[in-house]
Amino acid sequence: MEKVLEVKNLTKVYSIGSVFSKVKITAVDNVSFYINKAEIFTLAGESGCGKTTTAKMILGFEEPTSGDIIIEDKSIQKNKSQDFRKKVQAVFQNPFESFNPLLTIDDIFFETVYNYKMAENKSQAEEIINDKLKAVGLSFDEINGRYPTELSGGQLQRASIARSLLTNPSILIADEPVSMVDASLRMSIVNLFSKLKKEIGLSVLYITHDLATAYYVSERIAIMFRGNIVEMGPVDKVLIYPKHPYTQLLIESIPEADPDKKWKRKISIADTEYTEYLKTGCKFAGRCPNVMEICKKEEPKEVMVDNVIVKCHLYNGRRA
Amino acid sequence: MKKVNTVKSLIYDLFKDYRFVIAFLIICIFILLVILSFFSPYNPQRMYQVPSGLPPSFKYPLGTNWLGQDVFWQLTFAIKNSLIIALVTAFFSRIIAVIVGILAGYKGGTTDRVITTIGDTTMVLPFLIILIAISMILKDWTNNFFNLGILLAFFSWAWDARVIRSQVLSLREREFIKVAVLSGMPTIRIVRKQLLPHVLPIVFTTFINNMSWAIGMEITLAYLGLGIDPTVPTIGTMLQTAIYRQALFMGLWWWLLTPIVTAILLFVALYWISVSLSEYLDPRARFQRIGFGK
Repeated sequence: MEKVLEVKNLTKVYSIGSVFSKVKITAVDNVSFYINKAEIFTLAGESGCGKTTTAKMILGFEEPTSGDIIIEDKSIQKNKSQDFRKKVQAVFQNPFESFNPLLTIDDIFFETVYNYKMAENKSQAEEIINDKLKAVGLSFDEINGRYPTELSGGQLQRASIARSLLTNPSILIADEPVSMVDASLRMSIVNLFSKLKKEIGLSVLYITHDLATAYYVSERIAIMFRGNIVEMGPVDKVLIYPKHPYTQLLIESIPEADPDKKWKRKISIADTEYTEYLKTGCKFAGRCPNVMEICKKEEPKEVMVDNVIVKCHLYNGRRA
Repeated sequence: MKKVNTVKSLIYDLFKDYRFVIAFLIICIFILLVILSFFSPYNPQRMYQVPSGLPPSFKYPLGTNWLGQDVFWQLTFAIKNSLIIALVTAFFSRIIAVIVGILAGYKGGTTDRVITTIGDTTMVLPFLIILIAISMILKDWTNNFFNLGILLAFFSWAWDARVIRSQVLSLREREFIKVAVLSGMPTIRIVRKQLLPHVLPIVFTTFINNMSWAIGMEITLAYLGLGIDPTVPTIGTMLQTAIYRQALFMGLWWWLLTPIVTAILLFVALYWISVSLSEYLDPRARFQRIGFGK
């Protein structure tokens, strides 16, 4: 299976502070993963772990400090042409913010079509737009001449997805696409991703902190914590048999709809993001229930255990 | 169809504010006077054309001054000239402010710092002294309305450039800009189509503020005898001539009162228009209105 996206040793370091005291925060630390064609890959983690920064680098909004991003076998560094931009598109979290409130919604649709030279005149453009809108369950008449405030959040999010599909991208970066939408619409949007994957072979980088939908829709998953990928592998292995203590903590903290089962409180918010990012050694050492002496000094290496990549000192003995 | 409706409802809403109505009436009267200036029977710069020192009457609505000029017709020219200076100043300083503000806000980095430093420098300069100095040294150059307007514009673009810059800084991070980049829009089109509509409302209100500031500056300079040639009627030179020729001492109160009352009316009208416009455009006030309007 060919790889649609490959990220190799991607690092992003922000230095903040004044001339006298500069502090370096490694928002994304040596992250590597790949996504196959027609696959939905989840990048999960709590807020502030670096998932959106990774997405921004893939889309070209931020320059990586080091590392490489390869899309369809071509490195992003060497190719900044328009044809390249066609292949990677994105859907963002807030549907109301994704459209300019002072312009009509169809405006950005026509812009996309004309800018990428996909149509010669208005009726051709309308055809293409209507086509994509039907795929998400909307029609051109619903959005024609309408302002973003006149539609509901669900309709806007679907329109957003339709816009991103206009250029027939190979990969869609979906940055928390369902977190601001209600539960039933959540499932229909997530089902839409599945449908697109099957029908047109679309790959999706699904960024979320909602493990339930991640389990439902994706094939492989990577868990990020403070800039590192701590566990990565097939979704049933990672979410049903979690190996890294952080993943275990995450799974435990999903509340079950069973009144007899009480929610255990093992999660503590001891340190702020800032101090955790600056730690040496394993960044999770402050909260880990299985913490050892070595965890605070040395950063753990990645090991392959049972088809899953884990970054933890607990598994240091078993090198694949 | 939709655009016509929004313009109609905009005008209808604005007229609910009594300040806007009164200000609008005053400005209409002034525009009428400006139009009348083209039909003036007298050349404004020539003197002794009518009997001097006559109080207001039916034949001479605002009386005549000691130099034998009809005050009413002088006023029509004065309003026209003052407004020309104000419009030139406001126009050029807005253009500079918009270009510079968007450039500094969107590009960021070194460009931003350089531009902001230059802008801040023009703000802290003691402009009155420099204006006086330039008016004295380049007396012939500043005689021209256009040049005076440009000079005044040079001192007043920086504040608005800052306001626009901070708005652009916050707009830049919003998601629809990222979507616009992903849609293949070139930077210039993004600025024109996506950013400018957000920025323009502020520009309109500060345009009017800038106009009143420019008129105030022109009056100040004329009062000091600098800037415009004193025989050319502007609100400032009318005031200066009346004071210099001791109108009050001679009892010719209408000569002095005309420019003063005109200046006060003009400032109040401009201020009320700008205040009612900016309150109308303020998003928080808009929510209150939505309850009443529909």
